Order: sequence, then C-alpha cells, then structure tokens
Amino acid sequence: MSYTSINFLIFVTVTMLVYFLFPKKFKEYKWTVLLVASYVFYLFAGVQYVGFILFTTTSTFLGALWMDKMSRKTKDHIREHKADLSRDEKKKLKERTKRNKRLVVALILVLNFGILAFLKYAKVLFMGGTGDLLVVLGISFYTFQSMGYIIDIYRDTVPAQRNFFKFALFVSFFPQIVQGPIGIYSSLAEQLYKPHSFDYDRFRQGFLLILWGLFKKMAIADNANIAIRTVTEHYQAYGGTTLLFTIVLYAFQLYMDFSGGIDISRGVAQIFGIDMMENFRRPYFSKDISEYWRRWHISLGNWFKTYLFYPLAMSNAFLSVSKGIKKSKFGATKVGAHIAKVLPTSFASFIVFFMVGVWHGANWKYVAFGVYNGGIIMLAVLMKPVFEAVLRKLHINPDCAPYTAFRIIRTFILILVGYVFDVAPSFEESMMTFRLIFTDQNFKVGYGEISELGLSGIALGYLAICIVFIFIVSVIQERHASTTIRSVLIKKPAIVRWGVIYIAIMAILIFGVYGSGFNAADFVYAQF
Amino acid sequence: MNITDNPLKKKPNKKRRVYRNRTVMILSLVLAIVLSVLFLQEFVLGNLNHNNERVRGFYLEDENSIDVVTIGSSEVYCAFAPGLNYKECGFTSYPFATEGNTVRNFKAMYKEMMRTQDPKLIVIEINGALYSDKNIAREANLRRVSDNIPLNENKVELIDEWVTENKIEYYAPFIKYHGTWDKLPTTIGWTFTLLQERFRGYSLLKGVKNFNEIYVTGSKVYAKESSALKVRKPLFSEADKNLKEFLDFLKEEGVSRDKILFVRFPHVITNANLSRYQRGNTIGDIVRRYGYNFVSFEMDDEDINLDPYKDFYNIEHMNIYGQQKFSKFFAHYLQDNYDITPTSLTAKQKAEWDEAARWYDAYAAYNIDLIEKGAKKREISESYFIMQEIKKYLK
Repeated sequence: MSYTSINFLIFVTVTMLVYFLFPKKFKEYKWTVLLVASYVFYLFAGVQYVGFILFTTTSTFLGALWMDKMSRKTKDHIREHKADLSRDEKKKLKERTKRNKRLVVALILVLNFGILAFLKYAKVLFMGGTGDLLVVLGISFYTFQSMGYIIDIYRDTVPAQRNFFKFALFVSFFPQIVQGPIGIYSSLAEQLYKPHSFDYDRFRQGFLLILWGLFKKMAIADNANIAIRTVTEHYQAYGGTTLLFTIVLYAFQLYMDFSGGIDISRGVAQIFGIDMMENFRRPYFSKDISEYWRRWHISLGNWFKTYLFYPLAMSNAFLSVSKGIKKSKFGATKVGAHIAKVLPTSFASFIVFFMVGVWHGANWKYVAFGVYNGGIIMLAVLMKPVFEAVLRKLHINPDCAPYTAFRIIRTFILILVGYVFDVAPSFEESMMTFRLIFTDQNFKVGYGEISELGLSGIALGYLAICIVFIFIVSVIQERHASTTIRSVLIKKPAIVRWGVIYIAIMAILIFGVYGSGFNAADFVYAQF
Repeated sequence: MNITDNPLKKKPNKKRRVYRNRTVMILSLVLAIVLSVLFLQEFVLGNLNHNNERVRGFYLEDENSIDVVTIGSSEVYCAFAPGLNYKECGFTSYPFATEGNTVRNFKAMYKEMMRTQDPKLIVIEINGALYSDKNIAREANLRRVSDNIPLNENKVELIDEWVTENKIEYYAPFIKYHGTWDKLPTTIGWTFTLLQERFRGYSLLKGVKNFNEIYVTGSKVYAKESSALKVRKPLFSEADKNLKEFLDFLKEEGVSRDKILFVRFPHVITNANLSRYQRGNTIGDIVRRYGYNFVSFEMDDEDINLDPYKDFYNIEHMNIYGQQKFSKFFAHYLQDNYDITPTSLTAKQKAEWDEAARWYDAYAAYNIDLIEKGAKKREISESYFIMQEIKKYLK
C-alpha cells in the first residue's frame, strides 16, 4: 500500500477514527490500535514478509531482555554482597557481565544484519544475478531502528522494553516503516505508547505536511522520474548533454521523492500525536559534503554517527594510531600534529561512508559512491590547514557571501558527481557517464534527446517552475529555520488558509502522477 | 440576569460555533474540489477531441427529434452530413459515431439512442465488425464511447461487460486523463467548443469531420466486376462473436427490418483493404441470415458518381467532395426505400436545423477553399478555432 494511494488515505482515516474514538476507560491500551494498524499495513505488502519483521522483533526483544537480566543480576549481586566484594571483584564482575552482553549484542547484530546482507548480496555472490534476493518492505529501516535499540540496551542508556507488543509497535510503526526516518528508542517509544487525544491544531499541521509531501512526491518527483526512467532504461543511447541533464534532474527528483515521502510519514505521525525527527534540512544549501550529510537523511546519518562513527573514532585501535603519530618525529611537525589529531575521525568517516555505500546494494557503483563521499570528507578534514592557508593568501574572508555562494555551488557539483554512481546502472556505466559528460557535450543533439524523454516542453517548463518554487520556499525556510511555513499559514485568515489547501489539493490532483495513464513510481528509498 | 450572559453557557456556544464553522469549511472545500474535478473532467482534462463533441452533441439534441441515427466509426462522420441531409430531404439525422468504434459498443449505443430518441430508421455502418481481435479489445476504442455516455445503467453494463482492470477510471476518467494538462494548448479549442455547445444547447455541425485532402492511390483500384470482390473472408473471432451477440440482442428487442439498415459506406478498394471488403461480404451474409437488410455502397460508384481519385482523403474516408455526393445520395436512398416522414419540428428546433444547414454549407465552402488553395492538411470539425474560420464562409 503506497503512501500516495487512495487505499493509504482510507487506511489512515480508519486508523484515526478507531484511535481517537478508543474508549477512554481503556486509554492505556490505545497504542494497540497503532500496533494492529502497523501489522495490517505490513500485511498489505505481502504475508511472506511478516516472518522477517517478526524475527527481528523477537530476537531483538529477547536479546534486550537477556542483557537487561544480566545487568540486573550483576547489580543485585553487587548490592547484596556489597560488603563481601572487593573493588577488584566488583570490577571483574561488571567486566564479565559486559563481556557476556557483548556476546549477546554481537549475536543479535550478526543475525539481523546477516539477514539484511544475505537478502542484498546472496543473489550477486551465490547465484550470479543482480539486485536483491528479496525486497522486504522496510527491512533496512526497521533493522537499523531495532539494532540501535539493542546497542542502547547494551550501553545501558535505555531500559529494556518488557512488553513484547509495545516493542513490536516500536519496530513496525506504519508511517515510518517504508523509508524512515529511523527512530531512536529513547525519543520515539514513549510517544508511541502514550494515549493521545485528538488535537485539531496537530491535525492541521500534520495534514498540511502530508499535502506538502504528496505535492513533492506526486506532482514533482514522479513527473521528473518519467524522463529519468527513460534514460536509465536505455542508458547507452544517450549523449553527454542528456546524461548531464539527467543527473541534475535526478538531484531534484531524489530530494523531492525522499523528502516528500518523509513529510507524509511525519504528517501522519503528527496527526496521531507523535513527533518524528526531521530527516532533511535543505541539503543542497550545504557548504561542504560533511554538512550535506548532516542535512540529508539525518536519521541515517545520526544512526551511523552514534553506533558506528563514534565507536570507531574512539576505539583503542584508532586512538593508538593517533598517539603513535603524535609520538613520532612526524607528529612533532605542524602537519603531523594535525594529522594525528584528525586521523581517527577522518578515517572513521571514510569507513562509515564505505558502509553507507555497501548498504545501498550489491553493486560496485554503490561502493564507489561510498568511497567517493568518504574520500572527499577525509580529504577535506586532512587538508583543512592547506585550504585555510590558501584563503589567507588570497585574502578571502571565509564568511563573506560570495565565498559562501561559491562553497554552496561547489558542494552541489560534488553532490552531482556522487549521483552519477546512483543514476548509472553499473560502475562501468558511471565511468562512461563521466567520460561522456566531459567529452560529448552537444547542445543540439542533447536538446533533441531531451525532448524525447517522455516529457513535453510544457512539462519541462513546469518542472523548471517547480525547481524555482522549491528554491524560494527553501530560502524562506533557511532564513526562518525556527518557524515553519505551516505555522505561519495557520495564523492567516480562513480564506487564505482554505484557499491554499484547495490549491494544493488541486495541484496534486492535476499534476500528480497516478492512475493508469502513468506508471507511478515507487519511493526511491523504499528499495533500500 | 439574561440567560445568555451566563458565562457557563457562553463557552459551549463558542465551541459549537467553532465546530460548525469548521464543518462548513471542510464541506465547502470538499464540494469545491468535487465540482472543480468534474468541470475539469468534462471540459478541460478529458482527452478532448472531435469524438467528445460529436457524442455529447448527440445527447444535446431534443428528445425524439432525430429521424435517422447512424451508428458506426470514422466512415460515418466523414460520409454522412446531417446539415446537408436536412437541406436535401428535410429529415433530421445524427452520426452517433466515434473513431475506431467497434461492434462491442453497438449494444450500449443502441440502448442509449433508444433512451433519448425514437428514430424512424437506425443505420449501422459495419466497419466496427471488421476489426482484428486486438483492435476490438483496444481500450481507446471503448473509451471514446464510454467516456461520453452519461452515468446510467447502459454505461455500467458496457463497462462491466468489457472492462476488467481499472474500472474506476471509466467512471472517473479524470484519474486517467489528468496528466494531459501539458497538452492543453492543443485541446483548449475543444474546451471552448464543448462549453459553447453546452450553453447553446445544440451542436452546429452535427458531428461532421473531414480533412482538406485529395487522396490519389498509386495502387490498382478494384473494379466492380472483379472476381476478388465476390470472395467471402471469415471475420476475426471476437468481431464475429460480438456481431452475432448484437444481432441476437436486436432480435430479442424485436427490432424489425424496416427499422434498421446495415450498410457499408464507400471506400477506395485496393489490395491494401481488399480483405476488409471480403469480410464485409461475410457480414452482409450474417446480417441477412438474421433477416435484416444489408447494403454495400462500396462499389456503387456509378449511381453515386464517386471518383476514387478525387473524393477521398485516404483509402478509408471520404473528403468533402465525396461527403457531399454520398450524403445527398444516401439521404434520397433512405427516403425512397424507408418510411422517413420528417418529424414535425418546433419553431426553435427548425431554427436550429436551418442554422445547422447554413453551417454545413460554410463548412463545405471552407473545406473546398482549403483544398483548392492547396493548404496544409488540417482537421476540419467543430473545434473552436476552426469554427472561427468557417464562420467567415457563413451566408
């Protein structure tokens, strides 16, 4: 059931009615409505997938309880034998518990990431095919979310959930199951379990967010996708100009598709009284690639930062390398001192992005995408003193507007380079794309090709207007980050508010890609 | 103290007013959206072309005011000119036809025709039974009819009978056609036409359509005496089945042979469409077996005086020269062979039909003028922008 379908609209409406009309006497069980709805939603994707989510839910739930039991047992033992145990004995006991917990968490991580890796890589590694063995709805997102929870339990940062069904809701909450945002247990779980009453203001805010998301996904991204799909299906047939055009269009389409989907998810959750984290913060206004990854798919970035980057950067191995450089002759130099300082973080960044690439799928182009992003970030950190020196030499104020604009444009170009790996069907074809973009620019040929990508001149003009519109909205959002356009709109007179809603709905109905006249596109990130 | 001053009473009233206002706004929004979508579906984003205009024009005709209705496909509106027929013979007529119309649609069209009119004669042009199975099943061939039939049991029956996927889109064509917004510059003329026609209450050209071209075939044109024209070729299986179902239906309805006439309109017969001609012979046999009349005008050139090198705009369709000759001939043929006493029209109806005859003359003059000037090929129909040109030829 796609988030953009009429079925989903009906599904959300029915869930809303049941949830908000739930008897007050049993309000502490209101969350069960969300659980049932989430599983009904999941079942719509196919009964065969339920086994996967149930396995992750059960294994994570039991693993967490097991670790929790270990921790409590150790704590109780120490408390009971406080007087009998020496400091060393207490320490040893804690370390043993930690070791045992590490085994449990490792087991759960291996099992669950193992399933994810098997589904993504088995076909390529063992069957000689391409693509995923099976695309299980939301498997990446619920696996990351659950594994975040089990690591939090291992770290004793959250108490273990003792109610299996409540935990099942945390794993399967339907607005976020398809493509995130990846929730953190400490901020999401309690919101899910709390009984929320209907709040008209929340409803309005959520509804407007859904409309905005639908517009971005159906009326912009899916129209752009018509041209992109035409190119990717006959990739070898196009010249450099068309490929460059496609990459630029893809940047826009991907952002509208993914952020539109997240807006729908967040809007639906908001109606139920649940605040999900923002997943995008105008990423194309980033001034460097690191910032881009802090603004793009924020929840995934946070996940990798919390559960992979920090453990790596702060690991004994990385720190000892840093210390080793510091103590060496090279470390005594200015350059050496800088490298010793930033090497653990820059190398950890590289590994994180390599993993992001690997996660995207069993294709060398994704590995290249990860290495490219990680490499740029690593290089930027390592070379920072050099760049600063060049700026000083050229008397450029790094905070001045022209330089900021230059950085934004430069970063956007670097992002586009990364997207070449994404758009091209294979690594070889991404290399071919780079070659053609630099050697085969022919405006006349490109114009002819672009006009036959399935979008008329008027449709291309419409997309150009949409790009300008989104740019203006983004500039407003960027300048007034503390408030949302929705909250401003809600304060306007009724005629303006309802007029905007009418225009938005009509725009979705007219410009949206749906019905048999089109093949509506799936959400791009649902495949990961 | 007045009861309305009671502060305890004030709050619920205010709350109630807020709820009432919200309900009114939500209902108004829903209503505005529904009305907007219906308007767009009907007049703007409905994949609009001459077919919509012709079929909707048929429904705009006053009840029981049409003497002869012709059901069929593109041959019909290229050959059959109601304005000219009215001027020639005084009876009213209408081509209830669409491009690529197949025999599958005939039953629903017949029922629709009988629901709104009580014609003295129904003419069925049999082109719709010559199609291949693939052509018969083509969605567009069904939609050109179903999209323009108002929602009623005949429409439901037609859709139920032939549609298996995306049924909802046949009831709400907006779902299918909303994406045609980027073709608005080419369809906006039809928007104006349909709006004008709806407000006016009747069609001016009564569905005729041609192209300003003369077709000259490079292939051998079959002569009347050719033995190949005697051959009977079997129909494609779906067409055969659907034709017999339609004939069975007519029998069940008790339609008598003096009420209905099956015909084949003129074509240029070359090797390219010889097999269609031969299938036409088979249709004639089937129709006659059911006890109905079938007349083929395909090779009757001498009586009609049709010139295969001047009177067609392509192998299948007549141009304005052919249309004028054939329509006149056919009108007289019907009058001579069937009891078509013209309906007594009201003053308003008569004025409308007189206007239609004048518009047809202007249409023909414009068409001929374009051909004589060797102008670029264009579709000549009741589209708004073409009508602005035709208007200049009105007398």
